[in-house]
Amino acid sequence: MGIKAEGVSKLYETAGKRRQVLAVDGIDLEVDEGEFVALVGPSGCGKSTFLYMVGGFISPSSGRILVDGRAVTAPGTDRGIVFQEFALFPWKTVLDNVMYGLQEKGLRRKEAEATARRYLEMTNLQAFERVYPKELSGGMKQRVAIARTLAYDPKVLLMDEPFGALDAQTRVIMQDELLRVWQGTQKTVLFVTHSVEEAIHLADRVVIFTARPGRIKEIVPVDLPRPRSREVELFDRRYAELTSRIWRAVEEEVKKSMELRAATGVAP
Amino acid sequence: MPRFLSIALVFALWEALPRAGILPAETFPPFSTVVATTSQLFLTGEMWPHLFSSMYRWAVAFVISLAFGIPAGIAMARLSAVRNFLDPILTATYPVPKAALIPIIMLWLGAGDLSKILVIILGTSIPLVISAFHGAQGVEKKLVWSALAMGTDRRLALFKVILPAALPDILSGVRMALSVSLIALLGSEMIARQSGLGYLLFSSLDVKAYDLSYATMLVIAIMGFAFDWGFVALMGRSLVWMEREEGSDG
Amino acid sequence: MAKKLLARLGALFWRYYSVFLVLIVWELVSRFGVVRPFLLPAFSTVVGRTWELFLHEDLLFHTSTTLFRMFAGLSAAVVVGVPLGIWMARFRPARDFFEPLIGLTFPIPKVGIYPAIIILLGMAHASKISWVFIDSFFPIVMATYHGAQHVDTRLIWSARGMGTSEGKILRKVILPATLPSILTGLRLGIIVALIVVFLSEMIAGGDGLGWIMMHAARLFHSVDMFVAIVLISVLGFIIDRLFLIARRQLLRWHAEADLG
Repeated sequence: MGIKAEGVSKLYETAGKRRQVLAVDGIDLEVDEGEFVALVGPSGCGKSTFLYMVGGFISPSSGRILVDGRAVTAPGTDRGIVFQEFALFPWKTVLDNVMYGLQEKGLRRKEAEATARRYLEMTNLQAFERVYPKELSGGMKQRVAIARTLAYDPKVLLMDEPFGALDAQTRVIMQDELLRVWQGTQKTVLFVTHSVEEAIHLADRVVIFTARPGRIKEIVPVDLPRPRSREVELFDRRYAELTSRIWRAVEEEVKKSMELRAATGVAP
Repeated sequence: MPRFLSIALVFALWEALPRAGILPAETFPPFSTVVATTSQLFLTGEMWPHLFSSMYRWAVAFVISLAFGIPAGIAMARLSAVRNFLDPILTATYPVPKAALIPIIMLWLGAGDLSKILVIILGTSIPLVISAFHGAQGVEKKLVWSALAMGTDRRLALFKVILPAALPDILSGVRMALSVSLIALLGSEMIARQSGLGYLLFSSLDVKAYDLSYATMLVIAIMGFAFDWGFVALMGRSLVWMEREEGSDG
Repeated sequence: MAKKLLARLGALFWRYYSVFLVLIVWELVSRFGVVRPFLLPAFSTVVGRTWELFLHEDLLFHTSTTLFRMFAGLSAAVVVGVPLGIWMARFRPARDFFEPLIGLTFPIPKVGIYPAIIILLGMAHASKISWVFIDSFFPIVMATYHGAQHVDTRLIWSARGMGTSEGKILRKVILPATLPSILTGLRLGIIVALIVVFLSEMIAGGDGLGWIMMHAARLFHSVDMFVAIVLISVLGFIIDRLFLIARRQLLRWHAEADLG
C-alpha cells in the first residue's frame, strides 16, 4: 500500500483569524509499498502534523493525500499509528490493550486473545499480560504500543517519534526489533524522528523538512545494504558521508528555527 | 506513636470531661450516654422513619444529579456551543451558596419533598458537571486518535475512551457531591421542618431535648463517615489502573 | 482608545452572554406576568429594593456582619490550618497524631454537629464563626498538608547547597513551593465559608444576610428574599474574582497561574 501526498498544506487559525500559522506548506511525496521512509527536521517544523494528516486525524487545508490510491478523509484501520507518548489505555491491562484493535475488527475474544498473545511474545511481554500500563517502564510501554498496532495488521505504519522518550540503550534495541518486524512483514513505514542517526539506520529514504513552515528541503536515499548492523556502520565511509550530509542540512534548519523563535519569543 | 492515639484521646475526653463535671453533662453528655440514647431510639423505632425519609430524598436527588450532571459536563467538554453557554453560568454561580436558595424554592414548590429534592440536585450537580467537564476536557487527544485508528466509531469513542479516561476526575467530583448533598439535605430539612434527620436535629434543639440532638448528630456523623468510606472502597476498586501521584515508574 | 474599550466590552459581553441572557429572561418573565411577580420579582425590582434597603434600612449593617463572621472564621482557619498542614507534612509524629483525626472528622457533615456548637457557645457570633472556622479549616489544612508533602526534595537540597540555613528553608523554600496548594485549599475554604455563614444565620438568626432571608420568608416578603440571595451571590462572585486576581499575582511563576 503506497502513500502519495499532493501539495499538502496545513494552516492553523486562532478564533477570529487574528493569528495564522502555516505549519506545513506544499508537501509532495510518494512512498512505495513496503518502503521505509524517515522524516527529520527541527522541532515544530510540521513533520508530525504531516504524519497526523496521513493518519486522517487532522485534515489538510489544501492538497490531498492518497493511500493505496484512495483519498484520506478519516482515520482507518489500514493505517496504524504509534505515538511518542505511547497512548496506551491506562484502564486496560497489557493484554486488553493489544486485543483492542482486534476486537474492534470483530474478532471473537478467544481469537483476539490468541493473536494478541502472539504479538506479546514477539515483543517479549508475555509475562506482563495481566499488568496495567502504570506498572511498566517506558520501553515496555512502547513495546506494548507497537504490539497493539502490529496486532491488527495495518498495511501502513505511522510512527511519531516512537523511541523519543526512551533511554539510549533501549532505543537501540527497539530500533533493531522494529527492523526485524518490518523485514518480516514488508509494511509501508512513515517514521518521524529527531535523530539523524536513527533515520539513517532505519530508512530507505530520509526526507528532510525545513523550519516552519515545513517544506521538503531534500530527499536523501540511504543506499546502505540490509540487514544493517551498527558495528559495520561504525567503520563504513558511506555511512559517515550520509550522516554528515544529512546532519548539515538539518542543522541549517535547526538554526533557522531557533533564530525565528528568538525573534518572536514563542516557545515551540 | 500508636496510629489511632488521637482518636482514642478524643473519645476519652468526650467521656471523661462531662463525667468529671468539667463540662456540664446535661448540655454535653458523655459518649457512652449518647451511644445508649441512640441505640434506644433505634430499638423503639423512633429513629427509623426519619432516617428513611432523609435517605429517600437523598437517593432520588443524587441519582437525578448523576444522570444529568455527568452527561452535561461531558457535553460541555465536547461541544463548544454547550460550553460557551454553560461555562459562564457555572463560573458565576460557583461561589453562590446553593443552600441559600431553600426558602425561595419552597416559595415556588411548597415545603414538601419536591423542593428539598430540587435543592439537593442544585447543590450536587454542580461539582459533578465541573468534574466531568474537566475530566473529559483533559483526555489526551492521542488516546482518542489511537482508538479511531484501530477502527472505533467516532461516536462510540465517547464511551470507549472519553468516559473511562475521565473516570478518575468524575469520581472525585462524586465524592465532593456526596458531601455537598448531605449539607443540602440537612439544610433543607431543618428549614422546612416536617421529617428527616435535619428536622429531628433542630426540633429537639428547640425543645431543649439535648439527648435527642446528640443522638441525631451521632447518626449523621456515622452516615457521613459510612458514605465516604463506602465511596473510597468503591473508588479503589474501579481505579486500580490509575497512576498514583507518588508512583515512580520512569 | 474608546474603540478599543468598546471592543473589550463587546468581547466580555459575548463571553458571558448566557449570564446576561438569564438575567434578561428573568426580567421579562416577571415584567410580562408569565410568572407572578410575588413568586419571581423582576430583576430590576430586586436591584431597586436592594438600593432602598441600603439607603433607608440597615442592610449595610447586616452585610458587614455576615462578611465579618465569614472572614473571622476563615482567617482563623488559615492561621491554624496552614501551619498545622506544614507541620504534619514535615514532622512525622504530628502526622501520626493528626492524620487519623482529620480522616475521621472530615467526612462528617458539619451542619450535623452545629447544634452541639450552639449548645456550647450560644446563638451569637461565637457559634457562627466557629462553624465557619471548622468547615473551612478542612480544605485548607488538607491542601496544605498535601502540597507540603510533595515539595521536591531536590529543591531543599539545592537551597542547602547554596547555604540556606535550616531555619530559613521553611520560609524560603517550603512555603513558596506549597503556596499553589494552599491557595487551592483557600479558594475551596472561601466558598465553604460563604455557604456556612449564610446557613448559620438562617438557622441561628439574629442578624446578617441569612437572617434577612429567613425573616423575609416568614413574612412572605418575597422581594427581600431575592435581595438576600442576589446580595450573597454578588458578594461571593466578587470575593472569588478578587481572590483569583490575587492568586494570579502571587503565582506569576507558576505554570497554572493562568488557570481558573
